[in-house]
Amino acid sequence: MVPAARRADWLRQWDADVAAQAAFLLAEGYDPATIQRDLTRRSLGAASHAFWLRSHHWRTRMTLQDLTHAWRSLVQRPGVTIAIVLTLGLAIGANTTIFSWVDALVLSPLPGTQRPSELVVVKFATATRDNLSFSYPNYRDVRDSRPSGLSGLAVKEGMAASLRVGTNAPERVWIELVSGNIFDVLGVPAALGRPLQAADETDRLPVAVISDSLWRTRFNSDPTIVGRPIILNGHTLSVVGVTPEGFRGAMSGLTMDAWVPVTMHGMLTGRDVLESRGSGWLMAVARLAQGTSQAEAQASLRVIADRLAADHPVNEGRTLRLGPVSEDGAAQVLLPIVTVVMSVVALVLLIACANVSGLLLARAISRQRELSIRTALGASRWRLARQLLLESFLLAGAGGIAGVIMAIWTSRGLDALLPPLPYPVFIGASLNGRVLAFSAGVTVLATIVFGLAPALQGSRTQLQAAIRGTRANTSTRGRARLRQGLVVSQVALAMVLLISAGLFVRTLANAYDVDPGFSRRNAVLASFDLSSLGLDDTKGNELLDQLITRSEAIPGVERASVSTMVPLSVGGASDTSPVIDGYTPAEHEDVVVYYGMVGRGYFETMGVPIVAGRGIDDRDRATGASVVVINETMAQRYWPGRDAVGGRLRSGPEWTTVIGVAKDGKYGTLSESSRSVMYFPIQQVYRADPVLHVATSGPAAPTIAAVRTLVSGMAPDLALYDVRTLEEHLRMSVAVPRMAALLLGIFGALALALAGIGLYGVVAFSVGQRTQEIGVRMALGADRGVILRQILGQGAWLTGLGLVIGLVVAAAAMPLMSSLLVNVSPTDVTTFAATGLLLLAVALLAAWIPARRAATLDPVEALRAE
Amino acid sequence: MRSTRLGLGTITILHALEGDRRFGFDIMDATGLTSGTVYPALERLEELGYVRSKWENEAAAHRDGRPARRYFEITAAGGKALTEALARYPLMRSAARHTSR
Repeated sequence: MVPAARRADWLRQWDADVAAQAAFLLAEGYDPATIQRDLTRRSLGAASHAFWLRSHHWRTRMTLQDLTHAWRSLVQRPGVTIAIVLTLGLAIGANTTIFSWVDALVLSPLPGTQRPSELVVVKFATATRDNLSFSYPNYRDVRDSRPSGLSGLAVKEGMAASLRVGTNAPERVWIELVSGNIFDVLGVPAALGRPLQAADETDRLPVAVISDSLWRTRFNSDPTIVGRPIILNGHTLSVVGVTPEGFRGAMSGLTMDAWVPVTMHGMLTGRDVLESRGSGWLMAVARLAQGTSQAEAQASLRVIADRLAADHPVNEGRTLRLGPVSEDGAAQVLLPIVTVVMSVVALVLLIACANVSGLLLARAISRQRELSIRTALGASRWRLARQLLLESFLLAGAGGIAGVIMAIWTSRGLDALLPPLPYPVFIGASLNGRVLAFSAGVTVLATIVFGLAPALQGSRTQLQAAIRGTRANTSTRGRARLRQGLVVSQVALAMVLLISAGLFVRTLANAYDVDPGFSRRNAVLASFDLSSLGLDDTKGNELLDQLITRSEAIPGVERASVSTMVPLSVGGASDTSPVIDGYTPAEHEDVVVYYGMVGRGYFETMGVPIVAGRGIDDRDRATGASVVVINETMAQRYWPGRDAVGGRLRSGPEWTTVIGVAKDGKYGTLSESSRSVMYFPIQQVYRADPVLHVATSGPAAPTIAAVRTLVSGMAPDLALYDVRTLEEHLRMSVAVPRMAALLLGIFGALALALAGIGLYGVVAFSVGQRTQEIGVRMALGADRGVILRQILGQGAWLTGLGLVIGLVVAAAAMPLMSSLLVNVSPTDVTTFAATGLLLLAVALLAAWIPARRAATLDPVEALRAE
Repeated sequence: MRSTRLGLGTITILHALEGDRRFGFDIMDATGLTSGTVYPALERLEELGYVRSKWENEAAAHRDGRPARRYFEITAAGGKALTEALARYPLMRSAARHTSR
């Protein structure tokens, strides 16, 4: 560690000092052990001394001169420098942006809370399912048992509600029903007034806390808001506080407008499930006590769960588990997509680095003269390499800054890129400390990746040849191989990106062809929630019946109905495990059937063919026999080879008879696998929040106004939301493949361009190096065509190698995405082949330009050239 | 120009040098500082010109049966710097007066 110049003296100094001390101690009569100890203690400083000398050595060497030198050499070639900075800026910016999304989704999913790393979610789990919710009585018991390891346990559940301010039309807002202690557990104070408290819950006070954005938009930032009334679902509550700006609720990735004590549930929804122990509808969030591990808290919870199961049979087989906060909310859905994108931008960064590295390598070669002179003047190889690395670092730094500036805008882009969803999604990515640290880390990494090779190569100077100005040996095997290797890797990476883009483009094309299972294309969809009117089942069904009848009376409307399942709606499918008469499930088989409730005439309204029996109609009322319509998949699965019509199943206390079989459709996404589905008549299994389907004979948009008028006439307090045409809704279903195709296509094109430029650079450079040789050959009579073919051959060989590597990597990696593809195999031969041909074409073009130049060289000029 | 402000430890070392201590280990004993502090500090003081280092006479050392050691002396500039530094730390002045030898 000691610098060479000081080494001998340093050894001498320490050697002498220790020897003198040893002699002294011996003379004083100390025993060997004590002497040893004393000498060891004194010698400990040798390392610090050596380190000080080394760092001091660097400090004197690394002067401002190095920096200005580096700066000047970069500025002298503005074109290349700008190109490199832009390339790196784009790549680093893209990586920073994606990371900011990951950070917002996973690493800090609940903005505005205190010490969010201590927050966890708590769920019930059974042998087969691990995210069951809490019932209110269960929650109270667990909370009162004071689980050790948790400093607080709260519950929440989001729901849509209708808000009325003054005499304005009711609009939909999203509220969270929460336990009184939630603001305490999350560590969120009130910006105005006070947060909710435990007393609000136990005393069942009709109070609410509203969000900062709701306060600004609907209440005009009224400073006297505290104490004012707010009308939710037709009921009056008193506002007691406003949350701070930036707090969005207890669900990751979603933004809520108001928080209401959980004990208000019955009043707001007309449903009485609060005291039912078996009704799980609340999600729990807790804070780990300081100094406790998750394992400890987990263990304590399990003990409580066991006791709960013993005390109440309805809890049998259930235990409690902890999980990260990002489990609840939008993160789960978005994370797979964002992960794919993250890998993609990392690839792009690698390609960009390879490109920049190639450029710098070429530059280092053309700076041979300058570098060799410096070597002659006494600069060590290490010093030269350091200089080149410094240049690389300046470039990367500039690129990093450019990237961060770019990321300031693009990080907010996720919210814009998202397809419209029926939930209040809000990611709110920002450039916080963690993201900036990531950006800095990526910049340093990039410097090393692209800067190391040029620095090492460039510092290896060949004195004589360089000073003389000849080109002898400047393109040694090693150097050429390195650049070639870079190009090969670029081609391979571009191949992978393009293939994935191609697969998504095909998915997109296929998506429009997939049979969604219904023929209707013109319809209006409108969502509403009757529970905001507080009607019971009978009254609710009457209203639904009237709604259907009067909707069909609107001019231009062919049929109308309601349904809790909207085709191709990404989330919100409920499933259950019915008992099927005549079918015994196998040992570890889970009978999983999705279900929804539909009004009369639903199948006719949507054009879903009934392949056996009949659909739901007027006859199926609360008073009649319990009936159900199932889909083909279910019929074939549980009544194989027989007619399912007439079969019976039970998902409650009574047996239900199958009266019809409907054609299969796509219920969630276009790329889903087939599932069993049951349609119950809503008149028999009431739900307050179906979606109105109004089928029109012509374009649906003009009917929207009529539907609104009809509903406000029938129920003025009812908020209609998400009023859209079926066409708009269907477009949403292709949003994911569209987004993927777009992003991947852009990055793929970028990668292709970079690879092409890289290949061009290598071939052009090699031609430049061999100008003399080519001149000689042509003077000796070599055919121009042969020369052209030979140079092209070099380009083709590099491209081919990259292609093959890319194919192999893609074949291995693409199957990871198969869940996002529609009707396309992840190793689809057509896509692979087409991409390969495209790449080959671009590569040959890139190689052809310099090759042609070589072939049309004037031999005399070539021989004269250096 | 790098800062030439001396820390308490360095002042103590200078003071020890003024009091006729010369070798690294001696200064360790006088000041109670570790070798990891003393040795680099001596380098820095030398660089600042407050201290100069010399090697013992080879012949004399070999006569005593041990290798020649490197020793340090305070310079005039160093003496001045020490006085100024002590002026900045009043308590040190009184402590300095109390050191024996």
